[in-house]
Amino acid sequence: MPGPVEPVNQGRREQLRALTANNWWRAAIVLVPIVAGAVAAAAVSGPNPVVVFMLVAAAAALAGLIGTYVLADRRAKSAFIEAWARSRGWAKDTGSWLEEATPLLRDGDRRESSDYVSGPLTNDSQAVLCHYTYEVRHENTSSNGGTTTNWEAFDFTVIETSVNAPGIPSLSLHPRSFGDNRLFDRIDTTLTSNRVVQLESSELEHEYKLEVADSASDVAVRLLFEPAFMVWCLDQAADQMLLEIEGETLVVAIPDHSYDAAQLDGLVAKATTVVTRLADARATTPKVT
Amino acid sequence: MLIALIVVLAVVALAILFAVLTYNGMIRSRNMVDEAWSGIDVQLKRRHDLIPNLVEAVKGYAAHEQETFQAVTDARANAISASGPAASGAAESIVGQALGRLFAIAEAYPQLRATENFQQLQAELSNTEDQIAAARRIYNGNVQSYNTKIQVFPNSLVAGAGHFEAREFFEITDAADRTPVTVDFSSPEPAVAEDAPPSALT
Repeated sequence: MPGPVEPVNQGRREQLRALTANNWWRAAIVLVPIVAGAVAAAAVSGPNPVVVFMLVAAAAALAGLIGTYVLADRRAKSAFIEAWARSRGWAKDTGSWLEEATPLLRDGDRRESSDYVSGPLTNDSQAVLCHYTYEVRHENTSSNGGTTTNWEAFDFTVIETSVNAPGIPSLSLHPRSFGDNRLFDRIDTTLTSNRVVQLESSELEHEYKLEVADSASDVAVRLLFEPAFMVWCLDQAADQMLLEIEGETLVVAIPDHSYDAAQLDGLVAKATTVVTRLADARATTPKVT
Repeated sequence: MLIALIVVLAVVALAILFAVLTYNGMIRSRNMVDEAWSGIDVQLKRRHDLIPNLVEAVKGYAAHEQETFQAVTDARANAISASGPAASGAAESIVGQALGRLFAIAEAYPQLRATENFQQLQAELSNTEDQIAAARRIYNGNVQSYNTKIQVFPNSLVAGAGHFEAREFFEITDAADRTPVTVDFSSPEPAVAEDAPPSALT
Protein backbone atom coordinates (compact mmCIF):
# COMPACT_ATOMS: atom_id res chain seq x y z
CA MET A 1 0.00 0.00 0.00
CA PRO A 2 1.69 3.22 -1.13
CA GLY A 3 2.10 5.87 1.51
CA PRO A 4 0.34 9.23 1.61
CA VAL A 5 1.75 12.11 -0.40
CA GLU A 6 1.82 15.67 0.91
CA PRO A 7 -1.00 17.57 -0.81
CA VAL A 8 -0.22 20.47 -3.15
CA ASN A 9 -1.82 23.02 -0.79
CA GLN A 10 0.57 22.11 1.99
CA GLY A 11 3.53 22.01 -0.37
CA ARG A 12 2.62 25.44 -1.71
CA ARG A 13 2.47 26.87 1.82
CA GLU A 14 5.90 25.45 2.54
CA GLN A 15 7.33 26.80 -0.71
CA LEU A 16 5.87 30.25 0.02
CA ARG A 17 7.33 30.16 3.52
CA ALA A 18 10.73 29.17 2.14
CA LEU A 19 10.71 31.83 -0.57
CA THR A 20 9.57 34.66 1.67
CA ALA A 21 12.07 33.70 4.38
CA ASN A 22 14.89 34.34 1.91
CA ASN A 23 16.69 37.64 2.56
CA TRP A 24 17.17 38.24 -1.15
CA TRP A 25 13.43 37.95 -1.68
CA ARG A 26 12.70 40.34 1.20
CA ALA A 27 15.17 42.86 -0.16
CA ALA A 28 13.81 42.53 -3.68
CA ILE A 29 10.14 42.89 -2.71
CA VAL A 30 10.99 46.23 -1.01
CA LEU A 31 13.71 47.62 -3.27
CA VAL A 32 12.40 46.68 -6.71
CA PRO A 33 9.08 48.56 -6.28
CA ILE A 34 10.93 51.60 -4.89
CA VAL A 35 13.36 51.63 -7.79
CA ALA A 36 10.61 51.02 -10.33
CA GLY A 37 8.49 53.79 -8.81
CA ALA A 38 11.41 56.21 -8.76
CA VAL A 39 12.36 55.48 -12.37
CA ALA A 40 8.74 55.91 -13.46
CA ALA A 41 8.35 59.16 -11.52
CA ALA A 42 11.52 60.53 -13.07
CA ALA A 43 10.66 59.36 -16.58
CA VAL A 44 7.05 60.56 -16.64
CA SER A 45 6.86 64.34 -16.67
CA GLY A 46 3.44 64.47 -15.05
CA PRO A 47 1.96 67.03 -12.67
CA ASN A 48 2.26 64.78 -9.62
CA PRO A 49 5.36 62.53 -9.52
CA VAL A 50 4.45 61.20 -6.04
CA VAL A 51 1.23 59.62 -7.37
CA VAL A 52 3.13 58.06 -10.26
CA PHE A 53 5.72 56.74 -7.83
CA MET A 54 3.03 55.24 -5.55
CA LEU A 55 1.08 53.61 -8.39
CA VAL A 56 4.10 52.05 -10.08
CA ALA A 57 5.61 50.90 -6.76
CA ALA A 58 2.29 49.27 -5.74
CA ALA A 59 1.96 47.58 -9.15
CA ALA A 60 5.54 46.27 -8.95
CA ALA A 61 5.00 44.97 -5.40
CA LEU A 62 1.76 43.25 -6.45
CA ALA A 63 3.46 41.71 -9.50
CA GLY A 64 6.24 40.45 -7.23
CA LEU A 65 3.77 38.82 -4.83
CA ILE A 66 1.81 37.21 -7.66
CA GLY A 67 5.05 35.99 -9.24
CA THR A 68 6.13 34.51 -5.91
CA TYR A 69 2.80 32.69 -5.55
CA VAL A 70 3.00 31.34 -9.10
CA LEU A 71 6.57 30.14 -8.53
CA ALA A 72 5.63 28.46 -5.23
CA ASP A 73 2.61 26.84 -6.86
CA ARG A 74 4.65 25.49 -9.77
CA ARG A 75 7.34 24.11 -7.47
CA ALA A 76 4.75 22.54 -5.14
CA LYS A 77 2.98 20.83 -8.05
CA SER A 78 6.20 19.55 -9.50
CA ALA A 79 7.31 18.28 -6.07
CA PHE A 80 3.93 16.60 -5.57
CA ILE A 81 4.12 14.68 -8.83
CA GLU A 82 7.66 13.56 -8.10
CA ALA A 83 6.75 12.50 -4.54
CA TRP A 84 3.68 10.64 -5.79
CA ALA A 85 5.77 8.85 -8.43
CA ARG A 86 8.54 7.96 -5.98
CA SER A 87 6.11 6.53 -3.43
CA ARG A 88 4.59 4.28 -6.14
CA GLY A 89 7.88 3.00 -7.49
CA TRP A 90 7.72 5.38 -10.45
CA ALA A 91 10.31 7.97 -11.42
CA LYS A 92 10.68 11.25 -13.25
CA ASP A 93 10.74 10.45 -16.95
CA THR A 94 13.27 11.84 -19.33
CA GLY A 95 11.88 11.03 -22.72
CA SER A 96 9.77 7.94 -23.34
CA TRP A 97 6.65 10.03 -24.03
CA LEU A 98 5.45 9.74 -27.62
CA GLU A 99 4.11 13.02 -29.00
CA GLU A 100 0.99 12.97 -31.19
CA ALA A 101 0.61 9.20 -30.87
CA THR A 102 -3.21 9.19 -30.75
CA PRO A 103 -5.98 11.58 -31.87
CA LEU A 104 -6.22 13.19 -28.42
CA LEU A 105 -2.49 13.97 -28.53
CA ARG A 106 -2.89 15.54 -31.99
CA ASP A 107 -5.97 17.57 -31.17
CA GLY A 108 -6.13 21.37 -31.20
CA ASP A 109 -3.92 24.00 -32.81
CA ARG A 110 -1.14 23.82 -30.26
CA ARG A 111 -0.20 21.37 -27.53
CA GLU A 112 2.00 21.10 -24.51
CA SER A 113 2.70 18.49 -21.87
CA SER A 114 4.62 18.48 -18.61
CA ASP A 115 5.26 16.63 -15.34
CA TYR A 116 6.35 13.37 -16.99
CA VAL A 117 6.75 10.37 -14.70
CA SER A 118 7.01 6.75 -15.70
CA GLY A 119 6.76 3.36 -14.08
CA PRO A 120 5.38 -0.15 -14.32
CA LEU A 121 1.69 -0.79 -14.96
CA THR A 122 1.74 -4.57 -15.02
CA ASN A 123 4.61 -7.03 -14.94
CA ASP A 124 5.54 -6.45 -18.54
CA SER A 125 4.40 -2.96 -19.41
CA GLN A 126 5.80 0.46 -18.64
CA ALA A 127 3.74 3.63 -18.78
CA VAL A 128 4.28 7.39 -18.83
CA LEU A 129 1.96 9.73 -16.99
CA CYS A 130 1.87 13.46 -17.69
CA HIS A 131 -0.26 16.57 -17.73
CA TYR A 132 -1.31 17.41 -21.25
CA THR A 133 -3.07 20.44 -22.71
CA TYR A 134 -4.26 21.13 -26.19
CA GLU A 135 -5.51 24.54 -27.22
CA VAL A 136 -7.96 25.50 -29.92
CA ARG A 137 -7.60 28.87 -31.64
CA HIS A 138 -10.69 31.04 -32.04
CA GLU A 139 -10.40 34.09 -34.25
CA ASN A 140 -13.01 36.81 -33.93
CA THR A 141 -13.36 39.65 -36.35
CA SER A 142 -14.85 42.83 -34.96
CA SER A 143 -17.10 45.25 -36.83
CA ASN A 144 -14.16 47.55 -37.67
CA GLY A 145 -12.23 44.69 -39.28
CA GLY A 146 -9.84 43.98 -36.40
CA THR A 147 -9.11 40.38 -35.55
CA THR A 148 -8.64 39.02 -32.06
CA THR A 149 -7.35 35.54 -31.30
CA ASN A 150 -8.46 33.57 -28.27
CA TRP A 151 -7.09 30.24 -27.17
CA GLU A 152 -9.40 27.72 -25.52
CA ALA A 153 -7.45 25.21 -23.42
CA PHE A 154 -8.42 21.59 -22.73
CA ASP A 155 -6.47 19.97 -19.90
CA PHE A 156 -5.99 16.26 -19.32
CA THR A 157 -4.01 13.92 -17.13
CA VAL A 158 -2.84 11.18 -19.43
CA ILE A 159 -1.24 7.76 -19.19
CA GLU A 160 0.47 6.44 -22.29
CA THR A 161 1.70 2.88 -22.69
CA SER A 162 2.38 0.41 -25.45
CA VAL A 163 -0.06 -2.40 -26.14
CA ASN A 164 -0.70 -5.10 -28.66
CA ALA A 165 -4.26 -5.09 -29.95
CA PRO A 166 -4.48 -7.38 -32.96
CA GLY A 167 -7.41 -6.61 -35.24
CA ILE A 168 -7.85 -3.10 -33.78
CA PRO A 169 -5.60 -0.62 -35.60
CA SER A 170 -7.34 2.27 -33.88
CA LEU A 171 -10.07 2.67 -31.31
CA SER A 172 -11.42 5.55 -29.30
CA LEU A 173 -13.88 5.50 -26.44
CA HIS A 174 -14.88 9.06 -25.58
CA PRO A 175 -17.53 10.27 -23.16
CA ARG A 176 -20.41 11.80 -25.05
CA SER A 177 -20.63 15.53 -24.65
CA PHE A 178 -23.43 17.96 -25.30
CA GLY A 179 -24.02 18.13 -29.04
CA ASP A 180 -22.32 14.78 -29.61
CA ASN A 181 -25.65 13.13 -30.23
CA ARG A 182 -26.09 9.56 -31.40
CA LEU A 183 -28.02 10.96 -34.38
CA PHE A 184 -24.70 12.08 -35.83
CA ASP A 185 -23.01 8.69 -35.43
CA ARG A 186 -24.14 7.55 -38.85
CA ILE A 187 -22.84 10.75 -40.45
CA ASP A 188 -19.48 10.26 -38.69
CA THR A 189 -19.33 6.69 -39.91
CA THR A 190 -20.04 7.74 -43.49
CA LEU A 191 -17.75 10.75 -43.66
CA THR A 192 -14.67 9.51 -41.79
CA SER A 193 -12.31 6.57 -42.02
CA ASN A 194 -13.69 5.37 -38.68
CA ARG A 195 -16.98 3.77 -37.84
CA VAL A 196 -19.07 4.10 -34.73
CA VAL A 197 -19.63 0.71 -33.13
CA GLN A 198 -22.92 -0.07 -31.44
CA LEU A 199 -22.52 -2.74 -28.80
CA GLU A 200 -25.41 -4.39 -27.01
CA SER A 201 -25.53 -1.89 -24.15
CA SER A 202 -27.80 1.13 -24.60
CA GLU A 203 -26.32 2.56 -21.40
CA LEU A 204 -22.79 2.39 -22.84
CA GLU A 205 -24.00 3.94 -26.07
CA HIS A 206 -25.59 6.74 -24.09
CA GLU A 207 -22.45 7.45 -22.07
CA TYR A 208 -19.72 6.86 -24.64
CA LYS A 209 -19.00 7.03 -28.32
CA LEU A 210 -16.98 4.02 -29.43
CA GLU A 211 -15.21 4.48 -32.74
CA VAL A 212 -12.86 2.09 -34.48
CA ALA A 213 -11.00 2.17 -37.78
CA ASP A 214 -13.04 0.92 -40.73
CA SER A 215 -10.51 -1.88 -41.10
CA ALA A 216 -10.90 -3.05 -37.47
CA SER A 217 -12.18 -6.55 -36.87
CA ASP A 218 -15.68 -6.69 -35.37
CA VAL A 219 -14.77 -9.94 -33.64
CA ALA A 220 -11.76 -8.37 -31.94
CA VAL A 221 -13.76 -5.34 -30.80
CA ARG A 222 -16.59 -7.46 -29.40
CA LEU A 223 -14.16 -9.81 -27.67
CA LEU A 224 -12.51 -6.83 -26.03
CA PHE A 225 -15.82 -5.34 -24.93
CA GLU A 226 -17.14 -8.34 -23.06
CA PRO A 227 -20.04 -7.57 -20.66
CA ALA A 228 -17.83 -7.18 -17.59
CA PHE A 229 -15.57 -4.71 -19.42
CA MET A 230 -18.56 -2.72 -20.67
CA VAL A 231 -19.88 -2.48 -17.12
CA TRP A 232 -16.43 -1.42 -15.93
CA CYS A 233 -16.36 1.32 -18.59
CA LEU A 234 -19.80 2.48 -17.43
CA ASP A 235 -18.48 2.70 -13.88
CA GLN A 236 -15.71 5.01 -15.12
CA ALA A 237 -18.15 7.38 -16.83
CA ALA A 238 -18.38 9.55 -13.70
CA ASP A 239 -14.65 10.28 -14.05
CA GLN A 240 -15.12 11.17 -17.73
CA MET A 241 -12.48 8.59 -18.64
CA LEU A 242 -11.48 8.38 -22.25
CA LEU A 243 -9.29 5.82 -23.92
CA GLU A 244 -7.65 5.61 -27.29
CA ILE A 245 -5.62 2.96 -29.05
CA GLU A 246 -3.64 3.68 -32.18
CA GLY A 247 -1.08 1.28 -33.52
CA GLU A 248 0.74 0.05 -30.46
CA THR A 249 -0.05 3.00 -28.22
CA LEU A 250 -2.75 3.11 -25.59
CA VAL A 251 -3.78 6.39 -24.01
CA VAL A 252 -6.07 6.58 -20.99
CA ALA A 253 -7.00 10.06 -19.82
CA ILE A 254 -9.17 12.02 -17.44
CA PRO A 255 -10.00 15.72 -17.76
CA ASP A 256 -8.03 18.42 -15.91
CA HIS A 257 -4.50 18.40 -14.58
CA SER A 258 -4.83 16.23 -11.54
CA TYR A 259 -2.70 16.82 -8.46
CA ASP A 260 -4.66 14.42 -6.29
CA ALA A 261 -2.98 11.17 -5.24
CA ALA A 262 -6.22 9.17 -5.20
CA GLN A 263 -7.14 10.40 -8.69
CA LEU A 264 -3.68 9.58 -10.06
CA ASP A 265 -3.83 6.13 -8.46
CA GLY A 266 -7.28 5.73 -10.00
CA LEU A 267 -5.93 6.64 -13.43
CA VAL A 268 -3.12 4.09 -13.08
CA ALA A 269 -5.69 1.48 -12.02
CA LYS A 270 -7.83 2.31 -15.07
CA ALA A 271 -4.88 1.94 -17.43
CA THR A 272 -3.88 -1.33 -15.74
CA THR A 273 -7.40 -2.70 -16.19
CA VAL A 274 -7.41 -1.81 -19.89
CA VAL A 275 -3.97 -3.33 -20.46
CA THR A 276 -4.98 -6.51 -18.62
CA ARG A 277 -8.26 -6.71 -20.53
CA LEU A 278 -6.43 -6.29 -23.84
CA ALA A 279 -4.08 -9.12 -22.88
CA ASP A 280 -7.00 -11.38 -21.87
CA ALA A 281 -8.88 -10.57 -25.08
CA ARG A 282 -5.73 -11.29 -27.09
CA ALA A 283 -5.43 -14.67 -25.38
CA THR A 284 -8.99 -15.62 -26.33
CA THR A 285 -9.00 -14.12 -29.81
CA PRO A 286 -9.03 -16.65 -32.61
CA LYS A 287 -6.66 -15.69 -35.43
CA VAL A 288 -7.78 -12.20 -36.41
CA THR A 289 -6.58 -10.75 -39.68
CA MET B 1 -56.81 28.38 -48.70
CA LEU B 2 -53.49 27.34 -50.24
CA ILE B 3 -51.61 28.35 -47.09
CA ALA B 4 -53.96 26.27 -44.94
CA LEU B 5 -53.43 23.29 -47.23
CA ILE B 6 -49.64 23.70 -47.02
CA VAL B 7 -49.82 23.91 -43.23
CA VAL B 8 -51.96 20.76 -43.04
CA LEU B 9 -49.61 18.89 -45.39
CA ALA B 10 -46.58 20.04 -43.37
CA VAL B 11 -48.17 18.84 -40.12
CA VAL B 12 -49.06 15.48 -41.69
CA ALA B 13 -45.53 15.12 -43.08
CA LEU B 14 -44.04 15.91 -39.68
CA ALA B 15 -46.35 13.41 -37.98
CA ILE B 16 -45.35 10.70 -40.47
CA LEU B 17 -41.67 11.53 -40.02
CA PHE B 18 -42.06 11.36 -36.23
CA ALA B 19 -43.86 8.01 -36.47
CA VAL B 20 -41.21 6.52 -38.74
CA LEU B 21 -38.31 7.71 -36.59
CA THR B 22 -40.01 6.56 -33.38
CA TYR B 23 -40.89 3.19 -34.88
CA ASN B 24 -37.32 2.65 -36.08
CA GLY B 25 -35.97 3.69 -32.69
CA MET B 26 -38.21 1.17 -30.97
CA ILE B 27 -37.17 -1.60 -33.33
CA ARG B 28 -33.55 -0.75 -32.62
CA SER B 29 -34.11 -0.75 -28.86
CA ARG B 30 -35.96 -4.06 -29.03
CA ASN B 31 -33.13 -5.60 -31.02
CA MET B 32 -30.65 -4.38 -28.39
CA VAL B 33 -32.75 -6.05 -25.69
CA ASP B 34 -32.72 -9.31 -27.67
CA GLU B 35 -28.99 -9.04 -28.28
CA ALA B 36 -28.32 -8.44 -24.59
CA TRP B 37 -30.52 -11.39 -23.70
CA SER B 38 -28.56 -13.64 -26.04
CA GLY B 39 -25.43 -12.49 -24.16
CA ILE B 40 -26.96 -13.66 -20.88
CA ASP B 41 -28.07 -16.88 -22.52
CA VAL B 42 -24.51 -17.68 -23.61
CA GLN B 43 -23.22 -17.17 -20.07
CA LEU B 44 -26.06 -19.18 -18.51
CA LYS B 45 -25.34 -22.05 -20.89
CA ARG B 46 -21.69 -21.89 -19.90
CA ARG B 47 -22.72 -22.05 -16.26
CA HIS B 48 -25.03 -25.01 -16.90
CA ASP B 49 -22.20 -26.82 -18.70
CA LEU B 50 -19.93 -26.44 -15.68
CA ILE B 51 -22.39 -27.89 -13.19
CA PRO B 52 -22.16 -31.63 -14.12
CA ASN B 53 -18.36 -31.46 -13.84
CA LEU B 54 -18.63 -29.80 -10.46
CA VAL B 55 -21.10 -32.41 -9.23
CA GLU B 56 -18.84 -35.20 -10.45
CA ALA B 57 -15.83 -33.62 -8.75
CA VAL B 58 -17.63 -33.40 -5.39
CA LYS B 59 -19.24 -36.83 -5.83
CA GLY B 60 -15.80 -38.41 -5.86
CA TYR B 61 -15.30 -37.30 -2.25
CA ALA B 62 -18.84 -37.22 -0.81
CA ALA B 63 -20.81 -39.87 -2.62
CA HIS B 64 -23.33 -40.10 0.23
CA GLU B 65 -24.68 -36.55 -0.37
CA GLN B 66 -27.07 -37.87 -3.03
CA GLU B 67 -29.87 -35.51 -2.03
CA THR B 68 -27.77 -32.41 -2.69
CA PHE B 69 -26.45 -33.76 -6.00
CA GLN B 70 -30.00 -34.54 -7.09
CA ALA B 71 -31.15 -31.05 -6.08
CA VAL B 72 -28.35 -29.47 -8.15
CA THR B 73 -29.11 -31.70 -11.13
CA ASP B 74 -32.85 -30.96 -10.93
CA ALA B 75 -32.26 -27.24 -10.53
CA ARG B 76 -29.98 -27.30 -13.57
CA ALA B 77 -32.55 -29.21 -15.64
CA ASN B 78 -35.27 -26.72 -14.64
CA ALA B 79 -33.01 -23.79 -15.49
CA ILE B 80 -32.21 -25.24 -18.92
CA SER B 81 -35.89 -25.75 -19.72
CA ALA B 82 -36.95 -22.32 -18.38
CA SER B 83 -37.76 -19.78 -21.03
CA GLY B 84 -38.00 -16.02 -20.73
CA PRO B 85 -36.23 -13.70 -18.32
CA ALA B 86 -38.65 -14.05 -15.39
CA ALA B 87 -38.74 -17.88 -15.46
CA SER B 88 -35.01 -18.09 -16.07
CA GLY B 89 -34.31 -15.69 -13.22
CA ALA B 90 -36.37 -17.76 -10.79
CA ALA B 91 -34.79 -21.03 -11.98
CA GLU B 92 -31.27 -19.57 -11.78
CA SER B 93 -31.93 -18.46 -8.21
CA ILE B 94 -32.64 -22.09 -7.31
CA VAL B 95 -29.48 -23.19 -9.13
CA GLY B 96 -27.52 -20.63 -7.11
CA GLN B 97 -28.90 -21.96 -3.84
CA ALA B 98 -28.24 -25.58 -4.82
CA LEU B 99 -24.66 -24.67 -5.81
CA GLY B 100 -24.26 -22.94 -2.48
CA ARG B 101 -25.12 -26.20 -0.72
CA LEU B 102 -22.73 -28.09 -3.00
CA PHE B 103 -19.87 -25.74 -2.11
CA ALA B 104 -20.79 -26.06 1.56
CA ILE B 105 -20.24 -29.81 1.24
CA ALA B 106 -16.95 -29.24 -0.60
CA GLU B 107 -15.79 -27.06 2.30
CA ALA B 108 -15.69 -30.18 4.49
CA TYR B 109 -13.19 -31.92 2.18
CA PRO B 110 -9.83 -30.08 2.11
CA GLN B 111 -8.39 -32.68 -0.27
CA LEU B 112 -11.15 -31.96 -2.77
CA ARG B 113 -10.61 -28.20 -2.49
CA ALA B 114 -6.90 -28.73 -3.08
CA THR B 115 -7.39 -30.54 -6.39
CA GLU B 116 -6.49 -28.58 -9.48
CA ASN B 117 -9.65 -29.69 -11.26
CA PHE B 118 -11.95 -28.42 -8.52
CA GLN B 119 -10.10 -25.12 -8.21
CA GLN B 120 -10.27 -24.61 -11.95
CA LEU B 121 -13.99 -25.36 -12.02
CA GLN B 122 -14.58 -23.01 -9.12
CA ALA B 123 -12.61 -20.22 -10.84
CA GLU B 124 -14.48 -20.76 -14.09
CA LEU B 125 -17.81 -20.69 -12.29
CA SER B 126 -16.85 -17.52 -10.45
CA ASN B 127 -15.77 -15.87 -13.72
CA THR B 128 -19.00 -16.98 -15.40
CA GLU B 129 -21.07 -15.57 -12.57
CA ASP B 130 -19.23 -12.24 -12.88
CA GLN B 131 -20.05 -12.22 -16.58
CA ILE B 132 -23.69 -13.08 -15.86
CA ALA B 133 -23.90 -10.22 -13.38
CA ALA B 134 -22.43 -7.83 -15.96
CA ALA B 135 -24.63 -9.13 -18.77
CA ARG B 136 -27.66 -8.83 -16.47
CA ARG B 137 -26.88 -5.15 -15.81
CA ILE B 138 -26.58 -4.51 -19.54
CA TYR B 139 -29.78 -6.40 -20.30
CA ASN B 140 -31.78 -4.68 -17.57
CA GLY B 141 -30.43 -1.29 -18.72
CA ASN B 142 -31.63 -2.03 -22.23
CA VAL B 143 -35.03 -3.22 -20.97
CA GLN B 144 -35.45 -0.08 -18.90
CA SER B 145 -34.56 2.12 -21.87
CA TYR B 146 -36.85 0.16 -24.22
CA ASN B 147 -39.80 0.05 -21.80
CA THR B 148 -39.53 3.78 -21.16
CA LYS B 149 -39.35 4.44 -24.88
CA ILE B 150 -42.56 2.54 -25.64
CA GLN B 151 -44.51 3.76 -22.62
CA VAL B 152 -44.01 7.54 -22.76
CA PHE B 153 -46.46 9.70 -24.67
CA PRO B 154 -46.68 10.15 -27.66
CA ASN B 155 -44.39 7.16 -28.35
CA SER B 156 -47.04 4.94 -26.77
CA LEU B 157 -49.32 5.65 -29.75
CA VAL B 158 -46.70 4.28 -32.16
CA ALA B 159 -45.90 1.41 -29.77
CA GLY B 160 -49.58 0.46 -29.57
CA ALA B 161 -49.97 0.49 -33.34
CA GLY B 162 -46.75 -1.49 -33.79
CA HIS B 163 -47.60 -4.03 -31.06
CA PHE B 164 -44.49 -3.31 -29.04
CA GLU B 165 -44.78 -4.91 -25.64
CA ALA B 166 -42.87 -4.20 -22.45
CA ARG B 167 -40.08 -6.65 -21.68
CA GLU B 168 -39.36 -8.37 -18.39
CA PHE B 169 -36.31 -7.62 -16.31
CA PHE B 170 -33.94 -10.47 -15.57
CA GLU B 171 -33.74 -10.71 -11.81
CA ILE B 172 -31.99 -13.42 -9.93
CA THR B 173 -33.70 -13.25 -6.59
CA ASP B 174 -31.46 -14.44 -3.83
CA ALA B 175 -33.27 -15.89 -0.84
CA ALA B 176 -30.58 -14.40 1.40
CA ASP B 177 -31.55 -10.92 0.23
CA ARG B 178 -35.17 -11.55 1.18
CA THR B 179 -34.45 -12.85 4.67
CA PRO B 180 -35.17 -10.17 7.25
CA VAL B 181 -32.07 -9.03 9.10
CA THR B 182 -32.31 -9.52 12.86
CA VAL B 183 -30.80 -6.62 14.74
CA ASP B 184 -30.13 -7.04 18.45
CA PHE B 185 -29.93 -3.62 20.08
CA SER B 186 -28.81 -5.09 23.37
CA SER B 187 -25.40 -6.06 22.00
CA PRO B 188 -22.77 -3.57 20.78
CA GLU B 189 -22.54 -5.22 17.31
CA PRO B 190 -25.70 -5.79 15.22
CA ALA B 191 -26.28 -9.52 14.81
CA VAL B 192 -27.27 -10.72 11.38
CA ALA B 193 -29.56 -13.76 11.11
CA GLU B 194 -27.40 -16.80 10.68
CA ASP B 195 -29.99 -19.02 9.08
CA ALA B 196 -29.74 -17.21 5.75
CA PRO B 197 -28.88 -19.79 3.09
CA PRO B 198 -25.58 -19.38 1.28
CA SER B 199 -25.66 -18.18 -2.25
CA ALA B 200 -23.30 -18.78 -5.11
CA LEU B 201 -24.65 -16.07 -7.38
CA THR B 202 -24.85 -12.51 -6.18
